[in-house]
Order: sequence, then C-alpha cells, then structure tokens
Amino acid sequence: MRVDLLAVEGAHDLAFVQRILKAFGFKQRRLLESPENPSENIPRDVQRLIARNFPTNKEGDIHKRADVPSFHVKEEQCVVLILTGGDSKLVNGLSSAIQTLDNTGVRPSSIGFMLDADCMAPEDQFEKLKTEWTAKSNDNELLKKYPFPSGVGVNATGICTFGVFVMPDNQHTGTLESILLEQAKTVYPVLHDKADAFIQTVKTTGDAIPPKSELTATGKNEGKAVLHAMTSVLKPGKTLQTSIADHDWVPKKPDNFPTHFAPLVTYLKQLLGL
Amino acid sequence: MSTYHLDSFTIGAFRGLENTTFERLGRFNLLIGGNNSGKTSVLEALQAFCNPESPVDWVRIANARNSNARVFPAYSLNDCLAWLFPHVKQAENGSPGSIHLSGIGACSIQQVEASIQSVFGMPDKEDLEYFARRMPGFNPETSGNVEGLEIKLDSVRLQGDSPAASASVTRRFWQDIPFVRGRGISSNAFPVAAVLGFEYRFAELYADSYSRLKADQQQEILNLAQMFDSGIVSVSVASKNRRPYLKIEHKDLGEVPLMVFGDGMKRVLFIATGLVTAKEGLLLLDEIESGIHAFVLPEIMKWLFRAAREYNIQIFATTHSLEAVDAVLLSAKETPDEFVTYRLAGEHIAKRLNFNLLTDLRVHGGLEIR
Repeated sequence: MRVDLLAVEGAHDLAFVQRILKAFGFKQRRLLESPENPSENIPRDVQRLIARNFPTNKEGDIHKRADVPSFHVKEEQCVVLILTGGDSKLVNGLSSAIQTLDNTGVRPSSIGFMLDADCMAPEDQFEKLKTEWTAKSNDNELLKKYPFPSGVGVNATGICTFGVFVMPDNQHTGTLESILLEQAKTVYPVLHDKADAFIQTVKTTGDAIPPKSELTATGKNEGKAVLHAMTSVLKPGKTLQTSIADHDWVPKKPDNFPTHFAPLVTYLKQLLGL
Repeated sequence: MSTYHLDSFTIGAFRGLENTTFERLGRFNLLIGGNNSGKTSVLEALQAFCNPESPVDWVRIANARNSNARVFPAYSLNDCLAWLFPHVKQAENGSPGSIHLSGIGACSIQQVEASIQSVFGMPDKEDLEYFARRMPGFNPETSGNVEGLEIKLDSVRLQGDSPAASASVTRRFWQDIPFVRGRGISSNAFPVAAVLGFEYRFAELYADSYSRLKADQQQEILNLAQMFDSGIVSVSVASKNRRPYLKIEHKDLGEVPLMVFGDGMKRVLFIATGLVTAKEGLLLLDEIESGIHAFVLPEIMKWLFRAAREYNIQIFATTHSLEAVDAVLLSAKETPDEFVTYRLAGEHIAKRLNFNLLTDLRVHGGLEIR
C-alpha cells in the first residue's frame, strides 16, 4: 500500500485537507481492527502511528493529550494527516512518523508539511522549518535520507517526494483563514457581509473590545473573528473545524474548486499523486 | 580515545545474526525488537566475546537457554553448543558456519572467531576419568570411540601500544559425556556478568554462588541492595536440611528467607551480584523488566545507572516492555549521551535510537517503538 505523510499545524487545517481528500474520493478510516466493519479499519501498515499512551506523558502535562493522526484511504493509497498542534511541533511530528514507520519497514511515498505564513513572509517560514529539519537530521541517520526541499512546493530529489506548502499560497502572508474568507464571500455571501459588519462595528466602537481580547483595533485576528462569527451562526457552540467538516466551505467535487484553492490543491495533487 | 569498554560491536555471524553492527554504543544500551529478533543472541555474543579463550564457558553460554537441563535434558551440551554457530550458512563439510565477532573500544579484545566440526574418536583419558567421578557405574576402560564436536577459538587482543596478540584454543566435547572438565573463565577473560530473565525464580541456587563470593563483594551487594530497600540490614547464608539458603535481616520483617520475598527483591539481588562481578566490564541483563513492578522500574533504572557509573560498567539489556523503555529514558535525563537504544528489525539491522529521538517518539508522541 502506498503511504503518504502530511503534517499540518492546526485542527482547522486538518479539517480542510480532509474535505479536499474526500472530494478526491478518499474515505477516512476510523476503526482499529473491527471485525464487524473490516472496510472501516485503519490499514495495519500505519496503525503504529497511533499513540500507545493515552493521555501521553507529553511534557508531563496530562491535559496535553496525544494528537491522533487521521487516515484516509483510496484503493491502495493511504494518506496520513499528522496533526501537530503548532508550527514548533511540525518537524517532530513528521520525523517521529517517518521513524515509526521505518521500524516496520514502511517507507512513505511522499512526506510534506502544510503550515501558515501567519505574520511572517512565506520564505521566512520556510527557512525556519528548514533550519529545524536540518538540525533534527544532524543526529538522525534516517532523516538524512530525506533532504529538505530547496524551495516551497514539491521536490522529488530524496528517497521520496518531499513538499512544503506555506498558506495561503506560498507567496503571501496569511493563513487558512485567508482561503476560507475568500470562499465565504462565494458560498455564504450575506452571512459573511453581516459577520464582517459586526466585527467592524465592534472594532470601531470605543470600549467594545475588552482589554484581554486578542482582536485589536488595528485588525489583528480580524479574519479569524469574522469566520468564527459565521461559525457561531452555522454551528452555534461548535468550532470552525466542525463547520469546515459539515458545511459548504469545500465543494464536493474537485471540478468545482474555486481558483483561490488552486495553489493548495496543486500542491496536494503533486505531493500525493491525486 | 575510547569512551566505553566497547564503542562499537559487530556480529559478523553468531546464531541467527549476521553482519549486525552496534555503532556508537553508550553506557546503557537497551535492545528492543520483536520475538526471535535476536536480542538475547546479542547478549550471548557479547558474553562469548569477553571470554574467547574458554570453550568451556561457551558451553555454559550455550546451555543457558536449555533452562530445563537439570531436570529434563532434552538437548545435549553438544546440541546447545552447535546452535551457537550459524546454521544458515554452513561450511563445505556440512558443519555450521563460523562465528565472527569484533569490537572497538577500551576492551583489549578486538576479534573473536570460532569454528566447529564433528569428530569421531576416543575421548581424552582425563575427560573419561572426570566423567567417571561424577557418574557412578561408568567404567572409563570400556569406553570406545564416540561422536563429538571440536571447537576452535581464535582471538586477537590489543594491549596499549603493543602489537596485536593472537591466541588459539581447541577443545573437544563428547556426546554422552555431559560433564565438562575445566575452568569456565580464563584468566584473560574480560569482566562480564549475565543476568537472565528467569533465573531469579531459582533463588535457592543463588545461596551457593553467593557463599562463594568474597566478603567485600558480599558487602557491596548488601550496599547495592540497600539502595533499593533501605530496610535491609544484612544478607547471609544459612543452612537447613544440609542445604544452603539465603536469609535477609530486614528492619520491618526481621530475619526472613529470601524465598519469602517477592520477585523484585530476588531480581535486585541477582542484578546486584551481576554489578559486583562485572566491575570494569560488561553487565548483560536479559528481560530487564522481569519480576519488577512497573512502578518501581524508574527507581531500579536510576539505581542501575548510578552503579554502572560508579563501577565503570557498560550495560546491555533487553526488554519487551514500553514501561522499561520509558523508565530508562527518564533515568537517563541527566546524562542523555550515555543512553542508546537499538531496535533489532530482522535482516541483520540494528537501528540506533538516541536519547533525543527516543524522547520524540515516546515522550512527545507516545508512539510504539518495539
């Protein structure tokens, strides 16, 4: 079975890629060795990627539980999405998965990162990741076989395809929210406008923003606030991740993907051979 | 400049292992891997490597797997001995292939090679007389030609700046003559002690070997045991029905035979004895978690690390237990460079996992590594 590993930063990134994979015909496997539903079982080749300690003793904090990867299968291919919970953990998450699979003789066909540019330029984010990967490779013989790509996008110079995608498009500063906001204007235009107007009102109304709020009058986190205001209508009390999974943020067929999806979808197609 | 007794160790051929190298060894080397991956074979290879001039000791190593030998000797000494040698690649005469071991480090032994071949002939007079003394009714005069095995051990040593010195020893072992004459450990042997995973269950046998230790060694064992349980006052040998047994004077329990204690205490005494006899050498621990409760493992590992540093011992241990791996990882925090894990993955591969990598996998990822 072909195995591909993609490390993502946050839960909403994970949900978004899950929807894209679903559009390409991948089905999420959620069960461990269920005799009743064998077709739902996670392939044995990749079961070792599931943490054995729950909750893990991650830095000794019992509330920092193990992030469980998600497994997506189509015919003889399994894409494993590794949720790392932050850009500082991307390298550890992916390298640990490579090492764990190597212990059973499984070599991924492709490995990749998907991260936010946030407030940094994509090339700076790329360099930061490269430095971390190189440092990790220095005392790890296995990782040396996976040289970091020379630039963003997909590179096939090592023993497998290796890709890096910095959201929203490998060129501009931003996050997944940049893509979602564009999409919101198309699929939920009225709701988007109302949510945007609400956030603008809050921003410009004297003491509407409490001191500890992470939404600032200068616009920091404004896009996130608009999206979550929309989520509060689409799925009150639930997260953006849940809304991405359940609502119309991602078209059901790749043919209907909008142009602002193109950089990410092209990356996934090249990396995963979709 | 060598860091440890062995900085690297290569098994060219031994039992089922072939061309397997353990590079950049640490003070505490943990061997993991599935059943039949060769973990115990690595310990046996190290033990054999340390005593390359004593075929008799090699028989002892080979026979250790034959745990029922005393009660139900299904396999002869010669059967056990032959299985130390690789059987996949046989010599031209149909004998098992040769053993090749090599090491680099402060240990003077550099290379060990061993070959084995079947022989048919008359045992030495000394062997027959030795057997007759132990087997009433056996008449050495009536013995004719019998089948046997001939083992040849060649070794190369380095001593400081002197040129490499080689040694060669040949010895025959006869079928149906199960007692082997001679000293097990040669005077040239490198200090090594092996503690098997199951032997603590035969604690009554321990009294005999304990009684043969020197007084200062017994005191050291007591000191080590007290690091594990501060309530222990003394350990001594007593006798009942003409049989020796070990008794422990304990602050809370009074004088109690060792057999009354749980497996943990027995195991600790066995390991402590191993530490004392392996000073300035190698301690080999098979199934390190055996007999020890998971909650106590971190303390035991810290104790082992401390003792290994104090006695300049290099430890090689096997385990199937993730809890044991985590316990060693925890106790290696202050000296991470001293701890290395090797995963035996079949196809003659020993994958090296250093402290940082193991921390990523176990502490941060909670992942399976065995």
